[in-house]
Amino acid sequence: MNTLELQNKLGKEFVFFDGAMGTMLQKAGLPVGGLPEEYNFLHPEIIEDIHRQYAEAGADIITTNTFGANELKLAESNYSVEEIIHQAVALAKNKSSGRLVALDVGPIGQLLEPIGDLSFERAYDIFKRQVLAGVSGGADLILIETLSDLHELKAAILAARENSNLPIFATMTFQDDGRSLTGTDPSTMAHVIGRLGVTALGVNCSLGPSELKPIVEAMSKATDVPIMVQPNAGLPKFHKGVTSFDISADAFAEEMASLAAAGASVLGGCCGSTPEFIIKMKKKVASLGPVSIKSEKTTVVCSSSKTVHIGGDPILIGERINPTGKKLFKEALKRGDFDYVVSEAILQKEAGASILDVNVGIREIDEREAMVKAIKEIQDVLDTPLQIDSTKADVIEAALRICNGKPIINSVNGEEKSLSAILPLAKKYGACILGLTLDENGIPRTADERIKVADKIINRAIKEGIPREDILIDCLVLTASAQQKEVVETIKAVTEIKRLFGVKTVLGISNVSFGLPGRDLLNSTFLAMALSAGLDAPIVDPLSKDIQNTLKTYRVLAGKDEDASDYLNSFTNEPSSAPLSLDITNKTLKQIILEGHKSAVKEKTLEMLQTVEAMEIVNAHLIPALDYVGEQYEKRILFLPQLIRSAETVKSSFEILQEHISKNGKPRLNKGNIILATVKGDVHDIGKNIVKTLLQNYGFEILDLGKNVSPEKIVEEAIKKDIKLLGLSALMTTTVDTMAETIALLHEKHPSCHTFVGGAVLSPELSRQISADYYGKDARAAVSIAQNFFK
Amino acid sequence: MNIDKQEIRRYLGYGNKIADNPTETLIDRCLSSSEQHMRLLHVRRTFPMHLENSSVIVEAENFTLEGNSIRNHLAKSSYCVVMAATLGPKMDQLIRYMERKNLSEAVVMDAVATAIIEAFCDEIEESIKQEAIKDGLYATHRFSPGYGDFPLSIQPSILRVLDTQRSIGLTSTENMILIPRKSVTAIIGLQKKPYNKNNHTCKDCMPGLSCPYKKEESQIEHS
Repeated sequence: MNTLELQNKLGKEFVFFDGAMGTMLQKAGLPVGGLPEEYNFLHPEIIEDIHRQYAEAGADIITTNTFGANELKLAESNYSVEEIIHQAVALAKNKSSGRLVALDVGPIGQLLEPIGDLSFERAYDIFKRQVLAGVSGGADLILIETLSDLHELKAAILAARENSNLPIFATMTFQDDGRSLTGTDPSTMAHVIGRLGVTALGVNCSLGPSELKPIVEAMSKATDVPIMVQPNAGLPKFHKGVTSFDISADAFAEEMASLAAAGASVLGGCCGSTPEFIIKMKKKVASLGPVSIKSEKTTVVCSSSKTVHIGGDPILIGERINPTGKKLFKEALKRGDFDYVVSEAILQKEAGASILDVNVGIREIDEREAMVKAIKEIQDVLDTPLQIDSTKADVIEAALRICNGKPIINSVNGEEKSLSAILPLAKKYGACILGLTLDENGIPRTADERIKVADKIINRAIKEGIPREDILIDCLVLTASAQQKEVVETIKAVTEIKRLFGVKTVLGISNVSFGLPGRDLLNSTFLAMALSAGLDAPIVDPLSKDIQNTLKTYRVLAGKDEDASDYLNSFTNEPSSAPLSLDITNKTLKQIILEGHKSAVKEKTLEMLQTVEAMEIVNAHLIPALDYVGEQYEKRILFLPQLIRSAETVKSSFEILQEHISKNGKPRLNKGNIILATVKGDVHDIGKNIVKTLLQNYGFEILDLGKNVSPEKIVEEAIKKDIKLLGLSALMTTTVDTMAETIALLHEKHPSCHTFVGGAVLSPELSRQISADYYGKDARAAVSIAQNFFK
Repeated sequence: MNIDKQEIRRYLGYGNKIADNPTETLIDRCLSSSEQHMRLLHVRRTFPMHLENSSVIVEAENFTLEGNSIRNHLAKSSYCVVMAATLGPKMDQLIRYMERKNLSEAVVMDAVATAIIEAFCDEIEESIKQEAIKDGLYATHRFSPGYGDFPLSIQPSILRVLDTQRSIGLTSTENMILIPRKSVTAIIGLQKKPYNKNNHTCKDCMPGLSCPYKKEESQIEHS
């Protein structure tokens, strides 16, 4: 068989992979715990014999002994990635008697950000090296297997696609709760991976075959790509250091037939399986053929652990991460401060947004870099699917690479240059597209003309290979103040486009009210009209009470909220009286800060701003209160959680002051610019974040570079922003070395910058040894360092 | 599982005091929300072992335990149990989320999670002890990389012999940080002679080290 014959066979006949390598090595008497890939050189005859046995058992595809052959796992080995892989492919070819040879690629062994510290880009490079070695060694296809992390799988698939033309088979492993160890469910996996151009996808390892049935069923509903299963031979049993599995080859064969009936057509074994398993399985399914699978073809967007279906209940797309008309957001982007993005993301998610639109396009910054950073920061804390909002193809592509899941591209339109730039990206990265009904001639006035543009976009997208269900259309909302007659054209177009083309629709609701007072009211009424016309996913401000009320009531009246139960719940759960709304007139700002009341502090600050200057509030109220809390903390009368609570309260007050100052056109309060970062290799963040909050409280402007930041990046930012004071954090003995390296590089490239360091393992002595200028034992100490420095 | 609230307070700096009211409320809230976010998983294997010069040889390939501390800990043992336990990545995600939403809650959640993984390990340790008794052996308490002079660099070997990435999703970074963060690896010795746990306190770990969680003398009896 060659790869072409394989492609033709897939889905029509069963394709058989081999079984376990590790189990066979153990049977051959090789000890566990070492690097099994080295046996390609140490015991080639054993490896060859295992391949021979599987080939004779009838496997169509023989898998190389390269599961862990990546540069991290082989770091201590005497053999390089290329040597191991070339040798492994050669051994498999020798004994495969014409079978196809699959380059086996397992997980890297270290976890990707945000769970671990490995970047997506680095993961890609690691896989790329394996793929290139596989190609030059002569592998016929690539099997990426046993991955737990969807993002890692995406890196591997991109590395395989961009560096070879070989067919890709991709499987993940799931736990008994039906999710992978990093939280991906099979349906989400199939939705995301099924669009990435793989030849087959599925599940391996995990559990025994009987436990995998619901996983195969979930996948076959989500994708038309052939489904592959390589189960373990039952569940593992550990006894006296030896692992065994609990089902026989006969039972395995029986269960595999049932998985085939559920939709699997590429079959093999994982841990505990042997050639006997392959022989019996093949015999068992010989009389059957693959069932043809038909996915549900629904419109979905995904994060790594969540699939959102568009087309039933209305889906809210949060519009707030967009700098248009937002001065503070623009300033934050220019400073390189992404806290604004993250807090808007959290607020919208908690208000019920199912998808978040992300737009960071302002002229003064590198939009591509900012987009990637914004997406990483959001994915760091949330698993809400994203809508990538940019006009630039290179920004969109960078976002598509880093996005973990299946996003929507906002947007493509009927212009030739947009279609030809954006559609191939959507196809390659498996994203949904949002098509705007405008073209070279602008936005058409009538519904009919917009329908024509929609028709063009849909046809072109389908021609490009984008499935219909991945196409969404936005028929564009015009402002009632300037183009009142056209508002209703949009509504008409929504209904018609759904009827004619069967695609889902999106509208940016808020545009309708531009230039008129009472915008929320207009927005929510227009939302009701649009939903009645069939709108599937409005782009709105989910924090607007009017929008929420309209949605809530619409769902009752349109029969989406069964028995009005959500509606009724929203009344019973309404807080009877706001318990936190203190009587602020009786409390001083200091008392509010001491007690840590974040909502009360906002009211109080606004109240004080009527009579007191912002700077005066900082110097005469906030800082003395903080000093007092700090002293109490040092005397161990107050403790860390209380200190932080007070600090966060001050932060809320500070934000109001900055907003006030910005509105009055004055420069921000700033007592000095400081960079903070946790050094490369260290992923501990809380300590640094406490220091950051406290420094911000005292009026310092913090550029937070985050955790796991390389010396080069830190120094580059320090030079770019001409920073004079830099704070570094490390919590591990192993990462103090990186701290020393960072300081050395800083001294060389930007000698005018001073450093202070902190973290559990540091001491005054150690900080001197690594040539730091100051040592801060805690966040309070960092404040005095900064105050003295900028005096 | 028996989670000792005083341990949580100790991690937060309250020593053996009760925390202030809002923090106590927060501790309770974090304890209950932790339940939906953790996925307790563990794996362990028992190996025959022997001492050789200054180190411990675990009888599996490429696996030697270096350092006086671990050697002393296993001095009387003939087997050792290698174990790993984790709360899973969702707990990390929850803490990261809270760090951005409400830092004081994140700090409390972090302490709660640490207390939970310790309590989980106590439970595992206890079951190892009970199993050992059946075989006529006594289990030592657990000893983790980083204690005394037992180096962190052993982490990859521990993870490899337990195949933790596949079995419980546990990995380590190049700098030996366990990921997910709320995870523990440890070695427990099995010996023929009865084992006296009380000989081991914070004082024996690393003299002179200023560990933020070091128990004060008055606290040691409570533990």
